[in-house]
Amino acid sequence: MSPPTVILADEEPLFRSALRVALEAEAGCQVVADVDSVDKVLQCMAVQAPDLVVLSIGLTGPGGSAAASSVKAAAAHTRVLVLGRDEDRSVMVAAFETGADGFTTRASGLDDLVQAVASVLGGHSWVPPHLLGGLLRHLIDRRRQRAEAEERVARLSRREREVLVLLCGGHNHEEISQRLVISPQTVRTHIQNVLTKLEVHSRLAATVVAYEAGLMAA
Amino acid sequence: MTTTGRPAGGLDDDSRPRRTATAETRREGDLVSVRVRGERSWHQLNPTAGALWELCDGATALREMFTAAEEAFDAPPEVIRAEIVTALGDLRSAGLLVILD
Repeated sequence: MSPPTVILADEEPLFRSALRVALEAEAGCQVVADVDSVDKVLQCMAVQAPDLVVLSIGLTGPGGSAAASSVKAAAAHTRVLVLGRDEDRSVMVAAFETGADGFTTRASGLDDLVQAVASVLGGHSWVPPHLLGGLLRHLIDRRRQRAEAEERVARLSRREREVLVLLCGGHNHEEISQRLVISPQTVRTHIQNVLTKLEVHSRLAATVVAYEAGLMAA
Repeated sequence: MTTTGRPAGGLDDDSRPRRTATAETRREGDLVSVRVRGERSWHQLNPTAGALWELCDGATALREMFTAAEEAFDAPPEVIRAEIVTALGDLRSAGLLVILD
């Protein structure tokens, strides 16, 4: 059976070399390329998609965590392990939301890194145990936030929702008036009702609620 | 994935586990250990139980734990649910958790 193939992507040659040695010696991987940008990862993948890409946050090219989605778009079966620079929970969550299968940090010991690679290659997700509680808490809080926003948006009438969607699209009173064929005064009334029902004090805050509720595509 | 029903162990989806007032927590690197104050030995938690322990604030429902864990892990929902129920059941048996309905 051939060893799993890996592409390493990190800005620092020394780190890449160390990681290559560790993965080949300890994890039984075949590192087919080590590169310093997301663009180069994608160029390598155009020739042959590996089983795993190890991606450091902060690479040049499509920035940071979004790189995981570029890799997945190029080859859905390729697993992605993101290496963060630190234990930033928002970076970790963003990595998972854009398709990463695992997250760990460059500060991890090589043993931990090898364990993370083995887990992700084995079809599992990987989060350092001490970050797991924070990840679950974040997911719970986000779901609660969304449920609350949905509950508020559900209070709006069909017309008020239309006005809110246009507000989110950056349209002013006049444009909304023309689009919905209603008077500017009626538009103002609808906007005031929207703000009251959403329990916010500005159009910007109303827009935030609309996005949280999924009324607008992010 | 539905999260209705009553999992084994007497917990249901609306149950809200809460750490007892006498529960003590010790963290050493990735390891989380817990004990009832005054006990000599610590219970070392596995990573999943350690993560769940942080969520046992009396305000977070089991349903929310299931959903978040299903989102975070590449494992069948029934496996995730069983692991969570087992971990919380063990903590409750050890006198470290109370379950609020």
